Amino acid sequence: MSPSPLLHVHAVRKQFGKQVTAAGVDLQVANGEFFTMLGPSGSGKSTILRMIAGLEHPDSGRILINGQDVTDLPPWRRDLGMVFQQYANFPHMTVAQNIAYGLRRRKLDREAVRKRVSELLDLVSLPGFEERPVTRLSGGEQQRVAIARALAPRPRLLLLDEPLSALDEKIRREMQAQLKDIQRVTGTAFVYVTHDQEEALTMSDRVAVLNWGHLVQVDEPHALFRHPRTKFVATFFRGSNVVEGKLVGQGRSSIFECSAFRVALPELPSKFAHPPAVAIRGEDLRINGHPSPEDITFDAVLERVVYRGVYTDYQLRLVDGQVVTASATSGQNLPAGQKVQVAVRPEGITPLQAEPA
Amino acid sequence: MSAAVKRRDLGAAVLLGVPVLLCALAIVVPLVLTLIISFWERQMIGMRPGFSLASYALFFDGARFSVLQRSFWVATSSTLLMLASAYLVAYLITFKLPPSRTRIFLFLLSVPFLVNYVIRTFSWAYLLGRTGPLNQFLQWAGLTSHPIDWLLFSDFAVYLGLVAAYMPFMVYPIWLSLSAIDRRLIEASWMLGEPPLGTFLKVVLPLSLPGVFAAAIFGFVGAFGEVAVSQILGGVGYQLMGNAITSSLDVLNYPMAAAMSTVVVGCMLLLLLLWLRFFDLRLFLGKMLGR
Repeated sequence: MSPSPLLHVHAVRKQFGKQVTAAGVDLQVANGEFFTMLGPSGSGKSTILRMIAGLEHPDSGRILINGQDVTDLPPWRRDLGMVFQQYANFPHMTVAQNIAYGLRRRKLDREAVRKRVSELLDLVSLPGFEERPVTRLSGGEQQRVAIARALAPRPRLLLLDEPLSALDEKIRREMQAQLKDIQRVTGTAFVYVTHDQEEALTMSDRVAVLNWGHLVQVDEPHALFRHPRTKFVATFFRGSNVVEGKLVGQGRSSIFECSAFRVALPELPSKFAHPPAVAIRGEDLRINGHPSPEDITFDAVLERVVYRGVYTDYQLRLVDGQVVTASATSGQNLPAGQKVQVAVRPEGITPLQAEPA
Repeated sequence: MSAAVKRRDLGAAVLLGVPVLLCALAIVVPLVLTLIISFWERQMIGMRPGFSLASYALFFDGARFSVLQRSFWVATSSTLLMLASAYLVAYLITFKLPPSRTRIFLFLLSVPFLVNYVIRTFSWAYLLGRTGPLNQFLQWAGLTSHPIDWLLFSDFAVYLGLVAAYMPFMVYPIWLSLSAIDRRLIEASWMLGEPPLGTFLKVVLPLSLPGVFAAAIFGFVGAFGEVAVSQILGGVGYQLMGNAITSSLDVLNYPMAAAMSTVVVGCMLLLLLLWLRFFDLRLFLGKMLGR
């Protein structure tokens, strides 16, 4: 990352009463990046976004944009764009008036404003919508107007607070693709807040997972998905299994052992989870396959088979009673209740760290 | 159509019909009677049915017409004064008060109405009088050496009385409009570079206009037809429309009183039509009824 990132959130803390919504958060966002903050409700993601916007003031810590400290700057002086969950379009204005709202202070002549508005309506695929009253639009259309409005003054950074969560499933998927396109075309950096893991994985360049005001892990989507760093991250993404066990031996190459299997961990995290645990993705667990020599294999009882369309989930009980779920493309006809052999490649086993406190 | 549906329609018609009939009897009939009587002819101590514009003619070129003009001016200017103060109060309640205190504050605003308004107005006369507490205080504080006369029986007293009588009513519709505004609209405006003053003028004020207009009608209707405040606090000779109408009644000139009332009612109707023209009334009522 360049020496002075576009956005630098430095050691930001915020507390409401007893609830800590940001516990010393550090993050950096580069120019043109699609950065997502992912977390359950109450994880502090929206509060951090609002602090970047200037709508909340951190108790301590600094927020820098292009190296300039904006911590004490009010929202109207930060040159940022924001898209809200419930659109927040001005109901007494037309689509064009909404989009032109942020341009009024730019001292543009009427023709330039008109041009910019139609440019943005093209960008969000609502050409010719200028004179429509904004309240007569569908949810998806309203949100696109809100995005156009936020982008019109060419903000340094666009903040999006769960912008798609008010929309229904089908529109949401279309909008995901469109948002990503808009981000690519404009080259504007996006800071996106969501609780939807799929949204985070499909759109983002990097994802930060938050819990109780802590940044638990910041990574590219595939790294986050394949190699969760803590139990919280592992369980947050559907399809991951956490297996608890114990560590045998000391030093850099310890051996993780549970009742079903033991595995040498090449690289140990500094603060290992307690009790020691590893994460294994469901699709890495292969049932009754042909294990290669380096594979780790163990026995389990197939307890339940759940058909999920493309995939089928197999609930497996290990010898010590822990339950893991393997997923495979449907078609393998395995009856529940029988004993099976399970194989997993060693690199599919990710050691987990302790949660940040 | 099935019998059950017919029966239900009949039930609905009765349910709706009774209040409509009551309204018609209590409001429309007297108004129509007033309109009719305004065209009757005055006799020595009574009136005779007929169609005469004499009362209107007398009203429009007599001294009473200047009372109408004066009423109009007093009502308009006091409404503006009341709007400004009611807006300020409503704004503070909506945006500066913690939500837990909103109810108690709105309740406090209604407390004065527990006292009969003639008595309330008389108490102002006592407070503002030459020997009243206010003048005594001003002299005690050394701000004046002798009692101030213009505190009572003056425009000042009338305006103060009107504000005290109608301003609290006007807070409610404005508060309703303001509290219905989504706070995120304000934040969105800030994010688009508009500081608080600009945000107020471009977002908050326009969105609160339906409430402001409702409040304006409350205030204007009250002030325009006011009788007690002008009589008690304005003193002898301070005449507004309401006083002119009652004094016509005192001398049994019913056609004249009816003609003046008709003109006043006409003005009000015109105002209401203007409101309907500019604001979607249903939108506002919808908000009051919780959508």
